[in-house]
Amino acid sequence: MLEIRSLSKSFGGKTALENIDIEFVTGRIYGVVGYSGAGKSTLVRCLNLLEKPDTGQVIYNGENIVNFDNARLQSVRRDMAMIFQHFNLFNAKTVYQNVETAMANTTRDKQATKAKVLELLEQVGMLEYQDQYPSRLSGGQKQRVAIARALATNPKILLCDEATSALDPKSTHEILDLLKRLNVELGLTIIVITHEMNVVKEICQQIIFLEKGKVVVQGGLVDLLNNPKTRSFINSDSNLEKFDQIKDQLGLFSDDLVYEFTFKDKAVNAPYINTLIRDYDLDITILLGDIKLFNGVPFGGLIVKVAGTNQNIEAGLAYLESQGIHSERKVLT
Amino acid sequence: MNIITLWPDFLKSIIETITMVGISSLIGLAIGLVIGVTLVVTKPGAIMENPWLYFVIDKVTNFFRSIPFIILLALLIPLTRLIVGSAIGVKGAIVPLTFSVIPFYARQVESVLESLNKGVVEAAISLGFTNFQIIRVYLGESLPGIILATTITIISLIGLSTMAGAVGAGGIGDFTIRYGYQRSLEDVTIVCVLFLVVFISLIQKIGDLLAKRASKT
Repeated sequence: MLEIRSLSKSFGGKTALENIDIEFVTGRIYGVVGYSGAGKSTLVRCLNLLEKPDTGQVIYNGENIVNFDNARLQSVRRDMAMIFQHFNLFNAKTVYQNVETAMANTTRDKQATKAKVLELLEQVGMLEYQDQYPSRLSGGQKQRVAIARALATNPKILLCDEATSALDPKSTHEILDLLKRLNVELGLTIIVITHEMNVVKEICQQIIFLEKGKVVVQGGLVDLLNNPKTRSFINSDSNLEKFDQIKDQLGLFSDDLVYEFTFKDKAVNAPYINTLIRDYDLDITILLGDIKLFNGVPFGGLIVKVAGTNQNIEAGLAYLESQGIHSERKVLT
Repeated sequence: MNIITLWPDFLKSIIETITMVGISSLIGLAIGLVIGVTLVVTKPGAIMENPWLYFVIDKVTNFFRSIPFIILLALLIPLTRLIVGSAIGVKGAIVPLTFSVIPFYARQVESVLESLNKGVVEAAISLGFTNFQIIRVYLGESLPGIILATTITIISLIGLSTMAGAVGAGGIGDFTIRYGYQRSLEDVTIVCVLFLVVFISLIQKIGDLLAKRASKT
């Protein structure tokens, strides 16, 4: 339904996006992720042509929309709503009027408009605030209104530009839940830009990882985890990342063998450590551990110190590998 | 008290001032608003980007902004005659006052609209708003600022109108110069000053109140 073909964009000679190809499938939740300055925002702003790409195509419903005239572009934009980090509500209008204004181009019928506005406010849980002005609302409430406003034109796609980055963890969670619900109830395709790993883990089904304006990995979370370039991003909120900060205080010797084991799915609750100790005669000291859910699938990690004969260690690690557990030696100096 | 004997003249001068300021602000503010909006929306990168139109309007606005009013008064005499048929009297003052207020107000409106958070404009664009609807967002969201700019403009127009005496348009400025200054009737000067202070404070107060009512934050 929505596709980007060999799209490039630069600002004053500085490349923001280079030769991007992505296909978005209807009804899925996509995460466009990467560090700051990777070109995430530019990419999404090219989809509804808030930025015009230098070269390449944006195909929507089989048509390249890049050179559409104003009127046709406006109707495409009503199909492709957007919410923002700083909400961007109309501050001079009430909650009700914010949603109502957005409907001016789609419905002329007053009764129908009113019914739809109230329905949308109900859907996002803001019905009781309909007569308030945005300045009275909290960040999470503002984003709910922004979502209701974005849905006013019955869009097929919702673009979220760091939509939860200005919110506290609780509101973030609530907004993400709301987005998930809209995805299921309305079949809405959602494209989320974020640099926050918890957002990715909570809702994204498909991930596009950008680095310096290029797509590095495109696929599910597992694909990101298996790619050395994106592993550290995925783990950016993991307990295991603490290791580098605290390793000097742990009393380790530089020739100690310290490994990071990565467990996926069912492997998280199998007794592998026990097996290593019993069957391979290894001494194992657990230094750090972490377990988290990616879209409902558990991922675990352990950082351990291993001691034993070289032969046993090799055999033990080979055993883990055969069970689908990745191990990686940590550098101590 | 000289002012008591001159009372009918005093009242007449006030009416002249109100007429001059009233008519030239009605026309000037309307045209200035349109030009201010045009400057904002035709700027490079704006919603109706038009470099050529922007260049022309920008330069013409600067041109009229740089001419002191008393000189504009003289410069526009032929045009004034063409438009209102006479270059003197209240009628003759209205044309240069209008020409002076248009660029002043246009720049004020421009700066108020420019200060609107760009994100709000982008939200309007992303909602598939037409250009006309986006302009309405600009104006609606900037209403308090526009009201304050209008207040400042009207007050500065009252100041300019006192110079209109130079083309025989009368008004409070002309009255003060003629009686208070040239005939050294000090009480006349004092009463005129007091009147202006009260009049202008009143306008400012009304502007502030309206702006506050329009502000929803």
